[in-house]
Amino acid sequence: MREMDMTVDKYVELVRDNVWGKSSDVERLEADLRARFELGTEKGESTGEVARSLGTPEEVAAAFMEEAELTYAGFFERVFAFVGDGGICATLGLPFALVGVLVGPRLEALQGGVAFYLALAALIGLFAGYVGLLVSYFPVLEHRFGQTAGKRVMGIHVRSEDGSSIGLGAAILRRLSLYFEVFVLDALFVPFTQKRQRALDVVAKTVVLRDEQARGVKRYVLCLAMWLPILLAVGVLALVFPA
Amino acid sequence: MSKHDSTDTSLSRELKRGTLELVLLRLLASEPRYGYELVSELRERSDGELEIKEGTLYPVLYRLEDRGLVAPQWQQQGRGVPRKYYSLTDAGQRQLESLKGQWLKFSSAVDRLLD
Repeated sequence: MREMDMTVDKYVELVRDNVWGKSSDVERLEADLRARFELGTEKGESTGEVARSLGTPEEVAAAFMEEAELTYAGFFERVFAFVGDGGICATLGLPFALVGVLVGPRLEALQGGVAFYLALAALIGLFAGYVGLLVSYFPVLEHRFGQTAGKRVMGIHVRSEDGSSIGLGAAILRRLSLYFEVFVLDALFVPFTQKRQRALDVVAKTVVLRDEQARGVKRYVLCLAMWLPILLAVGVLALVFPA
Repeated sequence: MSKHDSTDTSLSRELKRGTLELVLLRLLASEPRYGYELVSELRERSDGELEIKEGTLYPVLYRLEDRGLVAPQWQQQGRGVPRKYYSLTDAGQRQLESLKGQWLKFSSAVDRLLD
């Protein structure tokens, strides 16, 4: 059986990965699970035996989630997180834009030789790289950390409807509306659905939850401030390279 | 999902879910117990009918605790590992009486129908 070779830490980690709730509640569960493993050691049970008696981490997590109360993030919290992410994505484009601006005008001087085509290919590659970064920004971060930079500032997380962390497939699926430019329409579902979901959240079985300590106006201001780096950089560039 | 669960009928699963609170309060009414004891008692006194995975019991106990029906207390016997004993509160005692009354009324009604 799979549990046989599972360590206590791994077991607890798997449970934690599949639950969402107040940190005090999650810590209470972790403390009880760890205490049960210790009790098992005292009784001469193996880690595997204790794990079998506790149930699989998924079963334990599901039972916990059945009792948990989830707080869904509101429409404006999500809009501001998205605005903040826009600032990050624009800032990420800065190095690419700089290289383009510096190299582009010099292409003509190469006069269609091998060097010209190499430089052109490099520029196209650079552009493709930025597009790749933009496309992967949301799904990779949401899959890996459950949140993007904007969501982190706002204090909200993406989770599966059952409370577990989301897979890469779900993370990509819930982002398709952005790629196909129907994001606004998709987002308009949020105020009207019971679990505050976009249409694609419903399809991907994902929800956006508010962290227990997230409150106040400051996070909204911070999300707007995420545009400051790129605005400053553009301002400086406009001074350095006057049109 | 364990093999045992998947062979459960949905009726017995729903019954278990609905009566677990009543049964736990009853077990704690006689004496304070910790999770492992509760699961063993449930299994033995129900001839395996009310078997429950220990890890899935904890969240139910938390709900009872948060509603003030049971009170937890960590206790250490000698040099042993500390155990979390749950005991019934006064509110828990009242809830037990109320649930017990409801259950007896309900089950005798179903019994009469099935006769």
